Amino acid sequence: MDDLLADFIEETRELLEASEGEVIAWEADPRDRARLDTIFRFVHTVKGNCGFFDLPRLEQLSHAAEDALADVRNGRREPDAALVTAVLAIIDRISQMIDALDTGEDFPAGGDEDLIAALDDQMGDDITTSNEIAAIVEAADPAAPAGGTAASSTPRSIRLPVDLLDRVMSGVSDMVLARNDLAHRLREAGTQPTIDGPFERLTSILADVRDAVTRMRMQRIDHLFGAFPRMVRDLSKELGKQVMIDIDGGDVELDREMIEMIRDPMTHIIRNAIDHGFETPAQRIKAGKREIGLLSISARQSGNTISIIVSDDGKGLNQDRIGAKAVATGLITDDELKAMSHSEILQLVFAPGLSTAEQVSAVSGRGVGLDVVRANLEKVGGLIEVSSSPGAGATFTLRIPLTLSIIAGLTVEAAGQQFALPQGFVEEILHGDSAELDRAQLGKAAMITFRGDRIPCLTLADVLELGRNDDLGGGVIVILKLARGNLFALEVDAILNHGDLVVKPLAPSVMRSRTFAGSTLLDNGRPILLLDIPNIADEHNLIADASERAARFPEQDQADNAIQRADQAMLFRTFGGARRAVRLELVQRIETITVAALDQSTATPRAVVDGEILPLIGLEAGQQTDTHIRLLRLSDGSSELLYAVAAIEDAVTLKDKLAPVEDDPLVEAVTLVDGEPVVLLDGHALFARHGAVPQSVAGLTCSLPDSAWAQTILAPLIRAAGYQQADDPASADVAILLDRDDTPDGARETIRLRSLPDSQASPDEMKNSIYRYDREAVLRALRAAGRGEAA
Amino acid sequence: MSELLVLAEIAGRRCAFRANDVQSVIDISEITPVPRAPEFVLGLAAMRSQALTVIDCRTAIGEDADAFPTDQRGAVVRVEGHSYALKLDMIDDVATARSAAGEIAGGFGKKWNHVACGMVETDRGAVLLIDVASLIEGPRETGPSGLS
Repeated sequence: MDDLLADFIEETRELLEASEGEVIAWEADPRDRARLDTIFRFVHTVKGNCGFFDLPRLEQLSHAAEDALADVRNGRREPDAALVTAVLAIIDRISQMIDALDTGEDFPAGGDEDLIAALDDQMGDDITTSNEIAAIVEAADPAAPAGGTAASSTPRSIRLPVDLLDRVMSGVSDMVLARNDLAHRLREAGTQPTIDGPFERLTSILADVRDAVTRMRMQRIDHLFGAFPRMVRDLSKELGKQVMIDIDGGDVELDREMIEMIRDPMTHIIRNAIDHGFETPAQRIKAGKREIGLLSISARQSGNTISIIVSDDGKGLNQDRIGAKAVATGLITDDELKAMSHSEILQLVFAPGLSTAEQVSAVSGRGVGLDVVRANLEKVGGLIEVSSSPGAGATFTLRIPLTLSIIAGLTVEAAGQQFALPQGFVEEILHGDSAELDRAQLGKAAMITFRGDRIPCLTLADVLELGRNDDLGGGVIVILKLARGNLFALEVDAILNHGDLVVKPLAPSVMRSRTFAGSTLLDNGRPILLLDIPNIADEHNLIADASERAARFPEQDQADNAIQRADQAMLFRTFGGARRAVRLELVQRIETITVAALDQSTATPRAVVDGEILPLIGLEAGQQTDTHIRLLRLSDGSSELLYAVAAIEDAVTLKDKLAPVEDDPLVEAVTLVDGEPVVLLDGHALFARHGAVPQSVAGLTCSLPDSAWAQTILAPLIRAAGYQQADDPASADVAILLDRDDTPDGARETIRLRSLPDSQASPDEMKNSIYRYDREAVLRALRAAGRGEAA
Repeated sequence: MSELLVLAEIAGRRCAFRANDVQSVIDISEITPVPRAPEFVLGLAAMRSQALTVIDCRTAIGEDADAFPTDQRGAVVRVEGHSYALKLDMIDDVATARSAAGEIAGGFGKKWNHVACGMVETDRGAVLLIDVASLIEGPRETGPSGLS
């Protein structure tokens, strides 16, 4: 916590320094909107950060200033000299408090209220000159005499300009090149013991220095993520919500500067998600979700970008409200809105001045968050996108470039030229003349067989339009794996080397070909190009959608992905709490059904999904309390099967060994996913035992008694049970009758309901009819009728 | 008006760069070609531990690359954080500008207009001042080259 506080103090100081000029410029021209925005963001950021550290006085001050400035931004208030002075006084006070925090002194109490009161609009009437405000400010300033003398304690770390680090880094790189040159000359000159010894020492020292310099700039993203669990905990507690955080990819290394740049944006997004995204536990249960919301944050490096994905399973973004708000604030016109796609409308949340939150809270709101987020990210060449489906949550994807980064890479040769490719994508390296590859040339496309699957194979010389050499088969096949798990092969002439590469960005005119991600220098000082693997794959249409997260929603384009699914599984939790997995190729869809569509009266429970009756397993009696149940719809091509799950976790790749299990016929193997054991279900056994060809009930019709009660209360029930409503009782498959209605001629099945509860009914009535509110009995009868049994 | 200019020759024409734009002049020896890059990008060259994008000024303007010989030296410029080496016919001298850059009636010709800042008078006569940022963008796409 101390570290975090120190970070906060340092950050606030930097912000103060940076905004000092803005403050002065704003004072000169209070109508300058850009300056106003900058100052507003400063107080907003301070406010946000203080909430996290329990610094109520700082929070109060910054909140008050933010309120006043928000009024100005919204045009509810004209900025005048009095307001400027009052805001400046608050900024000064924040600065003094930060100094006091740093030295560990207590800041004298009192005086804050006067400063806050000075912001008040009404003050303008009572006090007309800013001098008088200044007097209040003076009087409210208990720390004034001490302010100048409060010296900071010895710093535990120093901050260096990144320029300086860059210079040191390129200096060290130059030194390595000079050393290599020298080594070359020494070898030519033959062994010289008096020189070789010191030269060896120089080499090892240089290696150390190079390592240290590299680490100076790189930092694990953990450093950033580490603060989030606490923040999420505190915030959700404060807001009466239950949120669980799941962090993945903390070992991704990132430029230190970049980590600093994304700290604020990340904080904003997480705050927004907790404040506006997640529902309260009660609302969640009502919506059929788990009481505890899941906020997952993952980082992944792919080529020259790092993707950070923040997704919540909250209520999602409201497209209509965003659109309406954007029109209302004049951001876009009605016609423009109509022409926009779902995704385009969602991206409007990043526009300045747009907030759809109904209430402004201390945590977020006011529409400042996301425009700041985007501004900060764009400053470093990053991108942010949001996707959302109503009721299922929102996903923010941040993409940030590696302006300067060291990655492990392979150096390969094609058509006599060298190229580098990031090691992270390399799955395996194979000899091109191996018979196992089973090459196939299909038109212009080539395929090879890898682990039993046919995967597309590109030739690097072709990709780069370099003209291939004709002695095919002599090359090396590099199997590459993309972030989504798609595999493809790249044939190169030779693999020359592997090692750490310092990647530098390329000029825009070179980037435009979308083939290269950067350049790097070889040990001999020659520059070579780093291949942009995802873009190359994209250009050759090897991925369906490169921007989507790993097959998280496997119901989409399953045919296209059949190849990549070979080793993937869907991870879920059963109602018993066990963690299970089922091979992804078996999963046809994820379904959510209501309890009414469920029939547990027979030995094998069945459920109606999309008008088809399917066997259902995984449900243990009395364990589902919700009104909705999530199901995995499994299919082997002809038979289908529903598997009820308590929660769906993710689609994962099975990397670890599968250890076969003999004693449970329904279990294929046990494997490890992220270090935890997971039981993989045996698809063959599941279908052998439970699978069934879907029976359609969509054709079954049911007629209802002619009453308002039947239309409003009974109709939904029969639809849930898979029946269609019929008007004519004579032609319906099932006719439902009430009390003493006549049995229609020609009705195949009838179910008679009665208004009297069981306790008041005669034995005869009990036998022939069902109490109309005995839901279970009615459903049972409907299903029995559907199966052709007499009611 | 006493701005220093580096005088050079591109495709046989006398032109000038602002001395402030030019960081250094280096010998461009080995060039790593960049597949699939536009024609005016010759490739990458190393300057100490930095990779430079080598621009062929003749093709960047749209002139014929083969008609004019170039020398080994190139001017290093920096535009928006990226370093470029400009391959020129020759680098001549440094001179002082005697006037501000000005337009001339009729323009400098279709290909040259978009890289031109204007005409500048020097001790060595009138020269065309080149806008580096436009030059490294490459030729304007104005139909088939060779016309104008």
